[in-house]
Amino acid sequence: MVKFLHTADWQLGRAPLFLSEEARSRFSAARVDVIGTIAALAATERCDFVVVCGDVFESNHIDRQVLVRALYKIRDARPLPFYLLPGNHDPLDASSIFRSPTFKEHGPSNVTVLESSAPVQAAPGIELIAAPWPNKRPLVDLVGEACHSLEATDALRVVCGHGRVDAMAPESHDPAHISLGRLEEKIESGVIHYVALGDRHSTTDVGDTGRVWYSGAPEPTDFVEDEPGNVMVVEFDRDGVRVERHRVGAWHFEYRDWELTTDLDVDALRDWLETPDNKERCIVRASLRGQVSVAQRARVDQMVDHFTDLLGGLEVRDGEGGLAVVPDDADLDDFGVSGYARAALSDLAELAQSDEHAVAAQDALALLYRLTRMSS
Amino acid sequence: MRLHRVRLCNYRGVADCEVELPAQGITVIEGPNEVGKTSMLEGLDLVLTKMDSSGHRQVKSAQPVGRDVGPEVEIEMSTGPYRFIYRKRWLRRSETVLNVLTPQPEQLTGRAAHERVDEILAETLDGDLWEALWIEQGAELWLPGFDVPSLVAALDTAATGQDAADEDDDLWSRICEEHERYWTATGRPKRDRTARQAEVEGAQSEVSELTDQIDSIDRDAAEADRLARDKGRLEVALAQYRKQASDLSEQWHETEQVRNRVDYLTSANEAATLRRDSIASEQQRRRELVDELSSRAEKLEELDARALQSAPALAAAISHVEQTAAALEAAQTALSVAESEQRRANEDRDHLRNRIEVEQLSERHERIVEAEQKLRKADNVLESIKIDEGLLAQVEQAHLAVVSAEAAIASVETTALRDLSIEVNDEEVALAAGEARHTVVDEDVMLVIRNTAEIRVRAGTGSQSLAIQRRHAHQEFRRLCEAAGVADQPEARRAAQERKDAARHRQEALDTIARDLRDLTVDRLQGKIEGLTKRVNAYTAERPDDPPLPPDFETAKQVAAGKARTVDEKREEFDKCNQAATSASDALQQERVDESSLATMIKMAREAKAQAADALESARSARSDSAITSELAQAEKGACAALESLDEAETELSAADPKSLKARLRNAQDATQRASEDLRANEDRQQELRISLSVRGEGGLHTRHAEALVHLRHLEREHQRTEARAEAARLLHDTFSRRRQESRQRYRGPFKERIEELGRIVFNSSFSVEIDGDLSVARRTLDGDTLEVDQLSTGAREQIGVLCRLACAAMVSPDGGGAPVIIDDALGWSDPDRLERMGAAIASAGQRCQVIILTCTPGRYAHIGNATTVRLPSDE
Repeated sequence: MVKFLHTADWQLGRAPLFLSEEARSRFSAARVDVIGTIAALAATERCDFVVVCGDVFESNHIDRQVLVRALYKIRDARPLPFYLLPGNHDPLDASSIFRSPTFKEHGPSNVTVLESSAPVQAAPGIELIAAPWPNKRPLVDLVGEACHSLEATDALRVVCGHGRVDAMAPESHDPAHISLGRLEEKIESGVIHYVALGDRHSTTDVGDTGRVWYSGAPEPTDFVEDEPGNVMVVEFDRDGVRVERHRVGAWHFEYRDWELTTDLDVDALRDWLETPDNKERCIVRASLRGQVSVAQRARVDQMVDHFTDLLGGLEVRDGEGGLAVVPDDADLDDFGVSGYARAALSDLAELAQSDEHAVAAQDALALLYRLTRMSS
Repeated sequence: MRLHRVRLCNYRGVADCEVELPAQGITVIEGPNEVGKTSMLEGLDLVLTKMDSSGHRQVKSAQPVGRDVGPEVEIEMSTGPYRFIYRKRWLRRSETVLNVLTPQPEQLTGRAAHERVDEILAETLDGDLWEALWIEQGAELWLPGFDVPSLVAALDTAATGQDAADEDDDLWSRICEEHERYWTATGRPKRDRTARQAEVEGAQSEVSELTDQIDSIDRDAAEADRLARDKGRLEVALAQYRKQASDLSEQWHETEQVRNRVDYLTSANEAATLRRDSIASEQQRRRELVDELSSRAEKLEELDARALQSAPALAAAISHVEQTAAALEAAQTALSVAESEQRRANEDRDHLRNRIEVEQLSERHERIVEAEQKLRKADNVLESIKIDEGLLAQVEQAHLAVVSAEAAIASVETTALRDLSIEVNDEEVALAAGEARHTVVDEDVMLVIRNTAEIRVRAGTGSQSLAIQRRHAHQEFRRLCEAAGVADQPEARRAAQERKDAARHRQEALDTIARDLRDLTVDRLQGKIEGLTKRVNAYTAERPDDPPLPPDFETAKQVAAGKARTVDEKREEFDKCNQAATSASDALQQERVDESSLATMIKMAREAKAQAADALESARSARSDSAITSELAQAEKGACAALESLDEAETELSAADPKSLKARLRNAQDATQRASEDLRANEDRQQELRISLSVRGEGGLHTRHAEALVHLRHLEREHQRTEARAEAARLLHDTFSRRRQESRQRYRGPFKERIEELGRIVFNSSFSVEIDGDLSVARRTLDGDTLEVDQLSTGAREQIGVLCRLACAAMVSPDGGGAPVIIDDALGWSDPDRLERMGAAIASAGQRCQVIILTCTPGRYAHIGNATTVRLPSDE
């Protein structure tokens, strides 16, 4: 049985734009640090090698510092071999990072860039058949092309590819999509034995053979991912395959739509924000809609300020229709103002429900609420 | 706030003085000027504002002169929930002691005491109100606005029945502060906001620039890939083009050999053809020589024949010339004679016309002379006779008047029947028989027939006036006759007629002169007559008798016309003869030229014939005609053989199609060249892109782009948040401001009422005021007369100023709030009556607030019925 570690989509150099500078720095560092975790896991699991199936880097033009640090992390894992496949983010074009002077200078001996579909001997009797991206917009199924002329031999073959599998996007007719049918034919006929894929950030078993997998990204990248943060330890031979997913990601993303109307809703939002462990490495997006009183709005604003400080990242968005501030009488009483101030308050409350100046009026009410609290 | 007690020790001239002040009502503090009174107020200010360590000029000036002691002030006051005793001593053994009595007892000293008092005052005292209610002596008598928090609060309470104005005012300050964070006083965004906007734009531009750089790298990378693909294609194509060029080059070499052969055979063919053509040409030349000789001989014969024919024509031409010359000469003579006769006839005609003209001019001259005599005569008559038609009419009118006057008056006509003598009015009148004597009876007339009778004819009553009329008529008549130079009326009529005739004769003479002179003068007419007469006489003397002079002018005119026609006819005839002579001369000239030309031609033809004969002879001696014919046959045979060989070789060359072959070869060479250049360019460009991408790829552009994007998003978010806050602050501010203004409008009522309530005590029941937005008095109405406060007298303004403060204090001060009204010797401008009324008003207000009046004029405030008077001791 051959055992290796399958990973992809490291996307080194990536960090969500809405994070603070401090969080971005930590987030970016975590993506490099996870290489160490992967190397340790591979050692523990006695893997023969590691394949990284595309999008090793976020771009061909990432900061030199990130590249050098990543290469040194791999270097630290010597002699464990790392096979890196260029993907759509870091294609093997004329500006490829894999051919950059820095990469050439600091690329360690245990790194091999899979630059063509020529079989690469990864271990005795084990061939890697790679389908590197030559540019950002290929017009063919690169994986299919790489396997097309293969015939069955004595070697066990691992196909390393990157991109979407056609079966997962039946409505699309992109010629670059990977044909699952052709791969399964080759698997059936014993020409290839495992297909290690990258591009999808969630760990996914593709098809019915159990030999075609997306490992997912080792660190999450976005809110839309189902199961990111894993790598796969794969053990296989001609007769069978055993795949084990391992959680390595330190960061996680949380996302939820919230409709706020009552104090209980606001309480629930607070509880939800309190929930995550490792809050400093949790990136949260809350989409808010509904109607709240001025006091509730003030509570929400206060809560947002608090959790922005606490969490790795907090993005609060307007949900459908947004979060409207609709002051009621009790609300207005709560301001504790009288005389002309009360009349002005009523004006603003009315304006807050108009079409034209609603947002400014709601903001003005929130401001007034704050000012009255300061003066009381 | 209430002051309960003030004590001064060692303060200027005051050694120790304590004044107790009732919490409510009016306290009048009397003291000498510039000593106690002023010290009291100054001490109050110092203790509240200057720390005990202060060396302020004001503090130093409070020290008693010549005594080494420190000035000391102690006050007891209550404000808000606090009541405390506060004491300070400066300069010597300085100290501050605070003893808070309520709500929680506190004892503090030094700076802590000072700061605690500041804190208490800040918390409980409306500083603006404190200042506004303090009327200092000599200060400008302005009417302050009372836009102070305490009054606004009190008014708000009065207007709304709620007591929240303090807080609202605090809130308003915060709203204003918030507004000022984002907006300038003129309502424009503050500089930091516009700067942020610029920052956002800068960040956008940076992102855009980095995006462009990344796009540029992507484009270059794509180009490099395309170039790499193209390179393979170019290499294959280049190899193909090279092989094709090599094959075609070999074919071209073979074809060149065929072309060389064709060139050789072409030369041989050309030589054979040349030889044949040369001999054929010689044969042709020989024929031409024979033909030329023959032609020359014919030509010569023809010219000789023409010479024979042209001799008679020349003779005829000469004869014709002679004839025409004779005819021309005869015509010339006839024309001269006719012209001579025409001249004579013209001169005769002119001579006869001159004679007629002399006669006519002489007649005119005579008529003129006669008319001039007539004119002079008429002028003499006109000169001598004065009476004209007008004067005549007057004379006749006067004569008629005389006759009428005489007819009107009675008269006595005495007719003698015999010779007798009578006396008429004592005048002896002898009458012959039948003679009558007419006597006008303009007065009584006495006729005495001597010895016979005395006849008295009495004039009537109107006789006298009639007599006067008659006399006047006679006088007038005589005057006119005298003026006209006549004796009576008939003479006048004759003279007038004579004058009229003379005038007519004069006019006739003038007409005659004008008609006969026309445009001449008499002298010039005379000169003209003499000149013409001289010419006529000369012609008569000179002219020959033959032909005879025509009898009259008309005949002479006809003769001249006849001679003119004859001249025309002769001239026409002469012209014809002249033309004929010219033509004949020209014809003769032509004939002579033709004859000369023909002779030259005959000479030349004869020479040409001789030359042709020589040339033919010379050629035949070189090569005979038969030899030429034989050589030509041989040359034609050789030329045919050469042409045949050439045709064969050309067919072979044509089959090889050297033109197409050359085009293909050149194309293959060009394609090779181009592919080679393309390949080189491809490699150069690839190399260039590799270097460029290698350099740019190392720049971490993606990271920089992401960072720039993050920075931009952060800025945009901040900007949006700031702008939203600014809009909110503005909306909040504007809404509050509007409502506050409206509220102010309502506030004014109670304040106005309170001022008017006090003012009616001082002035009268018609007193009213108008309050401005800042709660100051704008106008005062009294007895229907409204004046701006600036227009009021100093006294009235001062009085209203005091009333405003009292009204304000009365409104804000119930329950120990507000501040006391402190009046430092005001109302110095008020008369006694007004002072009395002011006293009543102050007394009324004093029931609701604390009023402290300081004065150095005892009695000025004596009219305040419920005042407590405190007299300051006078140490000095």
